[in-house]
Amino acid sequence: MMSEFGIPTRATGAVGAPPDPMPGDRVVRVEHIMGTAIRIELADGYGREELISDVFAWFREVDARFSLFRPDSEMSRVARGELRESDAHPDIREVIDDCEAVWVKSGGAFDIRNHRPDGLLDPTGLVKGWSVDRAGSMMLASGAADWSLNAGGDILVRGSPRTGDAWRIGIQHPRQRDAVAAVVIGTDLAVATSGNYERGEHIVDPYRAALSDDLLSVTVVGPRLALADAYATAAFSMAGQAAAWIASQPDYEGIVITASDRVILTEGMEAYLDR
Amino acid sequence: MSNASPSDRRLPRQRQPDPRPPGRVPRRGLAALLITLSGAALLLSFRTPSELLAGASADSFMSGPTSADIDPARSVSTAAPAATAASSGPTEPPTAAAEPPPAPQVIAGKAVRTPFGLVQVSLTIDGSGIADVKAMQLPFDRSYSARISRVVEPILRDEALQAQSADIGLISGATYTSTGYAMSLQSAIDQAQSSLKAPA
Repeated sequence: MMSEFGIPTRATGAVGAPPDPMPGDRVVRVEHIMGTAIRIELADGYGREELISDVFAWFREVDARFSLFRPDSEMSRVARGELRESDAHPDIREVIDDCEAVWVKSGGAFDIRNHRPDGLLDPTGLVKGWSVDRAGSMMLASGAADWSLNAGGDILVRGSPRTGDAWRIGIQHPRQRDAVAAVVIGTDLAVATSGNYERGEHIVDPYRAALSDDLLSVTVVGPRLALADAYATAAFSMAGQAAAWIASQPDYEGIVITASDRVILTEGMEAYLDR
Repeated sequence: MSNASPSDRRLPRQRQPDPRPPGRVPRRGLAALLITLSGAALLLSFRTPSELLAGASADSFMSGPTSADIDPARSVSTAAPAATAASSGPTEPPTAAAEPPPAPQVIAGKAVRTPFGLVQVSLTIDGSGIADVKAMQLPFDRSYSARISRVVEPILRDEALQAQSADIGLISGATYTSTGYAMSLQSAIDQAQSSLKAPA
């Protein structure tokens, strides 16, 4: 590949610290933050080093504020009752408010107050997606139009990976490690998946835990990753009602894969699928 | 990346697929099915009575008689509220199922309270079994009934798409529940794309 000045452009490695990107170079950076891998991809990463650095700094800030693995985090203090929610950082109140809204919408299936064995308030099911939404706003505000953010398999995309193309997002096949079960395409979309690929429970269903095994994974697409993520978590605990419940959420669609290998799509989901 | 051969399209099954055609359940199962249908509105398939009563979930006749017959993109018409034995015990079998008439008949299940609200379904029965299941009352918003009747239900592809051949750059998965299927796949894609770009 040659630049417009006839100088060969350097290959930008996908992972690690590459040389400075040239105009038009795709840039991918990955850091491990919030207990997961955060991946930033810019279709044109030229001149975006400061933005990338700011976005990773944002995720570290979120981790410091919300982590329940850090006893001194604000979220830990709120969870232990040492700090009132009304006195906490506005971000904490915003996340808790979002959680409460999903709690209501899901009939209690998404419950941040009663799903930990120790009973601590735990908004983890929403904070990751919420922080990615914020990161996306940072990207847009800086003028970046074509990018993807992937936080541990929960994804937000804008624009195109290449001129004229949409982003193509594979949905992890729940039984085959190296394959995808479906392909979602989009230019302005959040995609979140909740699952139980290894039968290891991570979602404690307050009502019907015994039925959770009926599903292998739930994927939700829509405008906000915070809600897509929380909806996927909530729907996964609803077993056979998952697709119906997602279908009832305006602007969000879903893919439910059952233990009997059915792939249940909400009506509007088909428009997002590459067939 | 492993590749599923054409002869290995289906996942190993825990039992043989039931040879009955889709959409029909034998009449002897109606009572049991009605009980479970009234438990909650679900989207799962119809199952045979022995499966329902045993709580088995290994397989279903939706899979078809042989693996080679599966069309992964096929939609089935029975996107319907269906069965679980969750909240309603078998102590009140609907009497309507005792004597199914030969002509098509619509049978209303009892309304059941779920964590999400009241659920009630109806069955249409013809001479050979259940012909249709419809939601009469559901706990979600008004658009629910219309939309849910159009949910499609293909079978999970077994000759699963290989991510790189499909030009996929991003993988959505539930990584924090597992050993990192999706991020592992994502990193493999990143490496592949990087090595492809390097000789440029």
